[in-house]
Amino acid sequence: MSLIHVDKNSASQARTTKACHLMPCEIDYNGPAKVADYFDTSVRHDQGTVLSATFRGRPLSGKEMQLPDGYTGLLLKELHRPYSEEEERHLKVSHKFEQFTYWNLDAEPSINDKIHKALEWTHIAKTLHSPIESQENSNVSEPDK
Amino acid sequence: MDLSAFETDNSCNCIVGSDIPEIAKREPCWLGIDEAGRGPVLGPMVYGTCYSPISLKDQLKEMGFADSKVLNEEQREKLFEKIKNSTEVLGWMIEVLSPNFISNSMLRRSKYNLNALSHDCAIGLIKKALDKGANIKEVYVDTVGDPAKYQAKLKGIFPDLDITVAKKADSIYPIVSAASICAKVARDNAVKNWTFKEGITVENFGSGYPGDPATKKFLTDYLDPVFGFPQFVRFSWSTADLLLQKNAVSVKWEDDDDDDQNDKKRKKDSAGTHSLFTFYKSEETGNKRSKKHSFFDERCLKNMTHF
Repeated sequence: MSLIHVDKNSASQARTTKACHLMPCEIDYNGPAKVADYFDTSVRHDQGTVLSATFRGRPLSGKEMQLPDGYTGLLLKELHRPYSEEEERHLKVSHKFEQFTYWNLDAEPSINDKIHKALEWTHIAKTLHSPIESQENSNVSEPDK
Repeated sequence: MDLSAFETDNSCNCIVGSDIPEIAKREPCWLGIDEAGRGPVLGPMVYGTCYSPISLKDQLKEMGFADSKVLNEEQREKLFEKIKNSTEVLGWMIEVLSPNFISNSMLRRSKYNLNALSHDCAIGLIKKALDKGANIKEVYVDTVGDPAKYQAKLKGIFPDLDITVAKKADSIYPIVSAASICAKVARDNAVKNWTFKEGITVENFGSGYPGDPATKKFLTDYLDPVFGFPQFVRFSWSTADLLLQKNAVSVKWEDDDDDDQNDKKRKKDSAGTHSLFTFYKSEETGNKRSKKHSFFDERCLKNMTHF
């Protein structure tokens, strides 16, 4: 396992993008793509907040999602791929995002979707890891006095 | 034919038609249904219907309708003008099924095949004619799939109608010929006036049939490695699919290996029961690290220390 550096300066310089899509498929490609021409033109606003689109002829249903408070999404780029496992790696932040659109394959978005459930963890983590409030502390220690 | 509704949004289906002739509300009518553009890998498929009083059958024959495929484009356009100018006795309606709708339907999680899609479209047109108040008594349909099965299906849905499903109905019944002309004219116009949302301009895409060299060239030249094809192409056609497998980047979907896995599972099940001795084997004791709670598994959350 190698050390990974994320360039902090790049994070402050990176632009915030609204065009971030979480697709329900693995696309074996990294690099620029004609998203505006081919994908954005297929996006339609159905009833309510539900969106629909098409990718490779398949029907998608989607929804916009905000990241939880205090979180920022980062899109990382690696300029040089490491030659070996041991080599230190350097990543740059190319874009930041506060919201994204997630897409299901032929299924209406719901609170049972994995991405919804995954983000629940941020609330639980906050509760679990915040310090216990002093009032409760004093209640516990009272009888000893 | 005014297809402006479809031209402004060619991702979705669109229905265009005449007003219902007054006489078609009073007198018993016959109705014909035919489709155009079923085979091509490009553009929409169009369903057409025409209806007119049974008492005027002979008049319709004299109008010179024939199978739209034996007529040339000009003859079809002329005959369609005739249909449009016969609004007192002849009603018509077409539904344009966009290639995007065809792709999306056929590539859903639970596949919706082209025959079922065609049947449903025909059923929809009959229903619409009835809803508008046309006094339909006889229905003639050019078959898709097995005529007997298709006829039984339609009879089940419309028990009060006299339904005939036949091969080459468009060359036997003038009302079906008229319907086929409406469908073909609409298909030709929709293809001719196609605007590519993807910001490309195409000089020549041929007839749209997979065997046409010009169509093949278009499919190869305009293949985008990530997105595949513009919406004009029916992704569900094997011609399109094979080209993507060969020339585009691979895309894996979560339901891709469903069939594969089911096969494997079936094979495993049929391979017989486990050996009895496996029940007496001691559990492996190597892995003593505590397991993560299933809460994290269900949410695909993992600790990451490296990418």
